Amino acid sequence: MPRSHPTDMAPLALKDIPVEGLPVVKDTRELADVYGEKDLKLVRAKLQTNEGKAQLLSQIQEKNPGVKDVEKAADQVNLNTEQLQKKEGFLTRMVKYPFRHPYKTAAGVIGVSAVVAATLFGLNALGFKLPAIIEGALSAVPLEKVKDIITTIFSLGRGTQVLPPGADLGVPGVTV
Amino acid sequence: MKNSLHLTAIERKQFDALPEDVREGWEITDETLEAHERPEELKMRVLMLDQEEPAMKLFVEKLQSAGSIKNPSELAEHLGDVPPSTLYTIFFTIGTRAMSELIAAFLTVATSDDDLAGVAFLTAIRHELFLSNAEVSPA
Repeated sequence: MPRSHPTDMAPLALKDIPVEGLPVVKDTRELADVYGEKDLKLVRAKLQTNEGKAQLLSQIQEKNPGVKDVEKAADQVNLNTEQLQKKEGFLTRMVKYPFRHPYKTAAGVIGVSAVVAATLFGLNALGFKLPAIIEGALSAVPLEKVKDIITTIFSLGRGTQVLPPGADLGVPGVTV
Repeated sequence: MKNSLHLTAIERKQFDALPEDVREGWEITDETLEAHERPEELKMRVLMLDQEEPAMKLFVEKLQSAGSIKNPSELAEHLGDVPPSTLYTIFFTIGTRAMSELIAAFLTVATSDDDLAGVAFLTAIRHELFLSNAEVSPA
């Protein structure tokens, strides 16, 4: 049964994410398949009441029979939908922002930042080699610091097959 | 684009240390927001990143074919077909703390208006991330 009040929810421990048997929803278009409910705001609203939460969890169990711990499942739904809402809000803000195309606005820094971000996510392990000149530009970035943040999170998620097979965090010239 | 940078107090000191000719023409707006992501939020964002999404795949393909590029500007041009939303998704995923490290790094080595335009863009994205983070709470 759900807890008596949604505010009783403790944060889901990092090691418990993702909850066994409950897929992470990457896009709002997947909501109906995973939660049996397609409206993000409605899912969030249901989490706020005991009745709504119980109904939602029942739908989720029906859609995902592998879910063993419904309380943790509810916590994951809360966290997952919170991030979906934040992402939606952020992308909407960026669409309205009076920027030109970012690469044309501020080519060098944005290009290098994109590479840094992608590299930190291990995408370079797919075969991408940093051009030497870019490595030079990257030498200014305290990659260890940025990498520490990501590695901490990523290593906890490693068992979840987020990365493609063989992919690893790797930044040229940086050893952790 | 407005010549404005959203900087924290520490970043402002870094900016003030730049040569006067580099700083000239730039306005500073204080970044007072601190709505950083909780660790569990960042982990969820990593899990939400869809590497099979077509634009993300295009981004990876572009990176894979960037080996002969000679400078950062060429790289940016090479990445030009990648939709901005893909870039924004990556920044959303790494979060405000990692973005702050990038901002600090580039602010230290900025030598031109173009460099500061890049930093301005990053600070604006971080500001919007702070606002988005602040407007949604756990249910």
